[in-house]
Amino acid sequence: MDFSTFFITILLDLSIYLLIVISMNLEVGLTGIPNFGRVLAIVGGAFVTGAIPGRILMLIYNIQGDYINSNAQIVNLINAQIFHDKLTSILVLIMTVLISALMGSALGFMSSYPALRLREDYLAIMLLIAGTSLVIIGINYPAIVGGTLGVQIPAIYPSLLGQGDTLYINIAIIHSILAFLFLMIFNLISNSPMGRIMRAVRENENLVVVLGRDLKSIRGKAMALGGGIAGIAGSLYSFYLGSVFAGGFDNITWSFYPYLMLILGGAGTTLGSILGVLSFIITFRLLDIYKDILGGLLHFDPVWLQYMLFGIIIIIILIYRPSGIIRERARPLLKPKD
Amino acid sequence: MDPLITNSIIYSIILGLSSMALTFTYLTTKVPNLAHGVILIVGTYTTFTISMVLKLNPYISLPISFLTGGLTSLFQYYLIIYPLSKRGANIVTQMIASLAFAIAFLGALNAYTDYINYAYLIQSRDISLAYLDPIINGTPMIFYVGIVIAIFLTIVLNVFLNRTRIGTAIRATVENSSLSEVLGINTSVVYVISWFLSGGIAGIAGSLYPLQFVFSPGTSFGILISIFASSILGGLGSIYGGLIGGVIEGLTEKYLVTQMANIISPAIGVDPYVINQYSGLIPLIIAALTLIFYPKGITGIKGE
Repeated sequence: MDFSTFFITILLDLSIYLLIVISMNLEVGLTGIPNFGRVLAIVGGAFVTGAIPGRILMLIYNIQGDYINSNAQIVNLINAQIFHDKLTSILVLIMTVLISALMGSALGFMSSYPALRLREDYLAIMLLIAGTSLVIIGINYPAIVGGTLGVQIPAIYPSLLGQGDTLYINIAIIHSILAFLFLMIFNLISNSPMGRIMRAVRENENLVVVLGRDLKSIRGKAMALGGGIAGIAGSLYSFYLGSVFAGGFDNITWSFYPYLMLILGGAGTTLGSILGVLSFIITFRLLDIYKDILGGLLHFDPVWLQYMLFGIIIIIILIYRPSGIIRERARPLLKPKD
Repeated sequence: MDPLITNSIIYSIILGLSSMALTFTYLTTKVPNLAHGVILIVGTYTTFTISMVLKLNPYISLPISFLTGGLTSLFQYYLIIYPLSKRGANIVTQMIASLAFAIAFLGALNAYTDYINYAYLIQSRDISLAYLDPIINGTPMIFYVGIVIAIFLTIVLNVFLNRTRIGTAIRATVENSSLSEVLGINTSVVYVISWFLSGGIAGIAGSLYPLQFVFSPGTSFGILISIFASSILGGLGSIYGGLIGGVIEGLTEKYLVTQMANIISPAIGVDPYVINQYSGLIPLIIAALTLIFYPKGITGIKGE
C-alpha cells in the first residue's frame, strides 16, 4: 500500500468515526449519558440509506419490480439513468441524509426514553440493550435492507463524484469537510448556554432539578442531537460503501470503539474528539498492515491482538490519565472572588 | 420430556445464575459489570478445554469453571475496579473500564480458540457439546444437573450470606460501606470475596451453556444483554430478584416466543422459525417495560 492510498483510507475512516465520536461527545462528554448503544442510530441511518433512495429512484425512473428480490437488476437500471441526471442524484442524496438524521434522532431519543429520568447506570444498561435490536430486525426482515444478503445502493456517489481513484479522494474530501463542520457545530454547542446546562447535568443531576430545569428534556435533547449526527454518519458510510448489510453493524466496532476513542481523546473537549479518533485509527491501520506478518508468528488472527491492545491501552488511560489526551478545563462564567 | 421445555429451563437457569451473580457485584461495588458475559464464556471454554482437548467428562469441569470464572473476575477486580475506586472514579468510568477489560479479554479468548484450532485441529467456534451429554429417560443429563446446581448454589449462597460472619459482613457492606468500615469490617476483603463468588457463579453458568447451546467467544456480548435485562427485571436490589428475573427472561425468550410463534405463524403466514429469530428483541422489551412502569423491578414490589 503506497502512502497516498494509506492517507485516503485514514481520511475515510477518520471522517466517519469523527462524526460518530462528535455525536457521542454530545451525549457522553457534555451530558454524561453513558451511551453503550451508539450502533442503534448509525444502523438507523444506514437502513434509511439502504431502503429509501433506491425505491424513490424506481418511482422517478418508472422501473417496475421488487426492490429487494431483484435488487441487482433494478440498481443497474437506475445506475444507467442516474449518471446522466446529476440533479436528481444530488436531491436524493440530500433528502436521504436528512431522513437518516431524523431517523437517528428518533431512535436516539426512543432508546433512552425508558431510563431518561433514572440514574446513569440504568441509562447505560438500557442503551446497551437497545443497541443491537435494530440489527436483529434488519437481518430477519428482508423487506428493509435485504436481510442476510444485504442490498446495493444506487451509484449516487459515483454519478456525482466521478469513478475510480478520484471517487474515493472526493468522498474523503467531502466527508472530512462535513465532519469538520459538525466539529465546529459541536464547539459552538459546547460553549453555548445549552452546553453549560448539559455539563451541569453531567456534574450534578440533582442540582439541575433543584434549579428548576427538566432533566428528561435536557438528556432527551442530547440523545436526539447525538442520534441525528450518528444517523448522518451511518448514511454517509453506506453511500461510500455502496451497499448496506445489516450483519455488518456490530456493537464492538460501532458502539464500543467510538466510546474508547472518545475516552482516549478526552471527553467533553473539541480537540479531544479529533485526536482520539486520529490516534485510534492510525494505530488500527498500522496494525492492519503488519497483520499478515504477525499472523504467521502468532498462530491466531491478529485482529484479537488489536482487541487486547486497545482494551489494555484504555485501562491504562482510565487509571493514570482519566481525562484523556486533552484535559477538559473548567471555564467559570464569573471569576471567583478572592 | 419435550426438548423445548428442557432447553428453555436450562437457558433460564443459566440466565438466573448469571444475573444473580451480576446483581451480587452490583450490590457490593455498585458497578454493572460489562465483562460479566466474557467471564461466563471463560467458564464455557473451560468446559470445552476439559472435554475436547483433555478428553475428560464435561461434568468434571464444573468446579474448575467456578475457579477460572472466579479468578478472571478477581483479576478484573484487582486490575481495574480496585485502582479506579481508590482514585475515586465514578460508576460510569468503572463501567467503561470493565468494557475495556471485556474487549481485551474477548481478544485473549479468541486468540486461545484460534490457537486450539491450530494446535489440536479441533473446531473451536460455533459448536455445541450437546452430543457429549448422556441422555437419561429421553432427557439430557444437563437438565437434572442444571436444576440441582441452581438449587444448591442458591441455598449455599443463602446460608453463606445469612448464617456466617463473613456473610453478615457482606450484607452490612451492601447496606452501608462506610458505616461497616467504622465498625471494623474489612470492606476490601468483602469486595474480593464478592467478586470471586460472582465470577465463580458466572463460570458455573457458563460451564452449563455448551452442553445445550452453540457457543463462540462472541456469544459473550449477546448473552450479556439478556443478563442485564434479567437483572433490570429483578430490580438490581436483591440477588434473588436477579435469579427470578433471569428465570422469567429465559422462559420468555425461549419458551414463550416459540409457543407464540407457533400460534401466530398460520395467521400471518410466516414460518415459526423466522418469528423465533426475533427473540433477540425480548431483552429490550422486558427492560424497557420494567423501566417505564416499574423501575424497581420484581424486588421493588416486595418492598412496598
